[in-house]
Amino acid sequence: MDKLKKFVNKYTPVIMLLPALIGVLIIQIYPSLDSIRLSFTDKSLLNPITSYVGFDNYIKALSDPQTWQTILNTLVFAVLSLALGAVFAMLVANELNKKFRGRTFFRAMFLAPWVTPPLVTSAIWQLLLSETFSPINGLLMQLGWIDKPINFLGNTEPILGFLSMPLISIIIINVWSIFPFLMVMFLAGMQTIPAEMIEAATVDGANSVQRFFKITLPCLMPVIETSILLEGIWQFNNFNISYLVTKGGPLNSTMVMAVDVYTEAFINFNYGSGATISVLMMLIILFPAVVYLKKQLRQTDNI
Amino acid sequence: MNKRSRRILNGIRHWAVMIFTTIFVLFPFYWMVLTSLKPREELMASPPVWIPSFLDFNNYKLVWEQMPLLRYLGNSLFVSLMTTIVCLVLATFCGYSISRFVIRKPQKITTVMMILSQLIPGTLPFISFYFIMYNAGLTNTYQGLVIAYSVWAIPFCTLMMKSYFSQSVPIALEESATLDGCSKFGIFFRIAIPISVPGLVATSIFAFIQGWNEFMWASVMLSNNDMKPASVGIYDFIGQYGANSNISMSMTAAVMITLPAIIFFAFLQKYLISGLSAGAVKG
Repeated sequence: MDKLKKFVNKYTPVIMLLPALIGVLIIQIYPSLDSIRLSFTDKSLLNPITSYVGFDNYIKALSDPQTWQTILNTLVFAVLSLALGAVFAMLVANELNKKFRGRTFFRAMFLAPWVTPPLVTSAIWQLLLSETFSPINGLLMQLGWIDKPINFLGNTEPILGFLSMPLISIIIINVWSIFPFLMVMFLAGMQTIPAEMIEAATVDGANSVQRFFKITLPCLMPVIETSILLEGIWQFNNFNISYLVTKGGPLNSTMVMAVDVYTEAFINFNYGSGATISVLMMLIILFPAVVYLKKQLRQTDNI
Repeated sequence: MNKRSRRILNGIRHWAVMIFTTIFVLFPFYWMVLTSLKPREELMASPPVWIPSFLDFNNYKLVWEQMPLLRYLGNSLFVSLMTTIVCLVLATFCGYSISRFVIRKPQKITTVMMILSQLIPGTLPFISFYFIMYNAGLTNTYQGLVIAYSVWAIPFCTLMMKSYFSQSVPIALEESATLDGCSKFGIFFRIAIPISVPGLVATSIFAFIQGWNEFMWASVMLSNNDMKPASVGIYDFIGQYGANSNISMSMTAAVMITLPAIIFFAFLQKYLISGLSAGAVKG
């Protein structure tokens, strides 16, 4: 009995982490590897016998101009929502970091989009941006700024070559739902900056813009790096907004890679080619992911 | 520029940002609630009706009669709670082990795995995972959903608990307990856990919200109407009317699923913020 106790005590650290590790291995790591295998097969619902087809799926995907358009859409969607979201979150966090009446109230209120189910987010915005019901169009027409309603989610005419009205629309929707998380992260970082530092700068005559760029921003850099890398990867993988608002349409103008995988695999039931797109996604995300992983491990070593 | 005018300018900028953000954040909610309550003839009016002439609660009655809302909400609540429990137990153990015994190999490997699985596109394991669940007979079951949700939330929760432990539980305290003959499990339950309640609360809120809002897994794994969580149930409900045909019904359903989440969050948000902050500072 004593021996058993000693044994348990010695291996406690390992016993503690095994359940979570096994779960993650079985449910994420193994299926990920298996999906890579699937991407070399022609598995589909209509195909009773699955066989290996080598790089066929990849050749087919990469020779299709639509795939490149989807990749471009995904990058534009991720980068623009991240950039807009981060700048906006920073602006709001900086103002929330001041002392004023109702500060906690505003902070809590601004977090609301974060807890709103994506389904609801998309249903509301579909309404806000629809051609017939949109109050935004209504307001613009009331003010006399436009003559006929803008078809935010339907007009596929390209803008600047890589954008279109529907894509811009889902980016705005996405900014609405991601900025709260970034805001909380930035705010948390700002609260660790010693107040004396800011005060000293104020005494020396720095104005608020100088204080922001010379003190707040440099001190926040570690938090900014971490949250932007993480959020960037999440947005690259974002499925909900594009799928729930426009289903990738119209004419694939809002098609992002995650929706492409879902459509291929669970609507067209071509599992093999769906898996191929998901492997392409992983290859694109690999570089920022490795940067993030290295950064995290360095921090772990420092503790 | 003198000090006074600078102060006024700062004040204007401050309130401009606050007011703009408030409108940006709240207007969609306002319009959702408004649409669900507007009388029929004011819905499509042009110019739009910003404040309705009277409130029409009829939609709520109709949605209540046509959609098994309680069933959906109950499913969501059950699955999210189970997810929270499973995820919390596993993540707390794992996070503690990583935070205390970093130098060793298993901890290092686990850390890499946890970070890695946060970075893998969710769609990569998705297809293969579906077949694993299908072959194990776990599609169309609550267990399957709970497994999927918890494993998706575990990595982030583990890292969150890890940073909470390494920041808020002093190692010296544990060392003295070891000298007094306390086992490692004993230290974990008697010292680390009681100190870490705020971190535990934050992590559970995170896991719960993940489960409550999840859509993609549930839509693929469930075809049985009785088990659908609210996110999928309401999606189907809205879908059967089409996006534009019955706006007020869709918005009514949307209000009904959002309300519980917002109320729940309003009470607990300060814990979530403090827990996230503890993690954010060190990454």
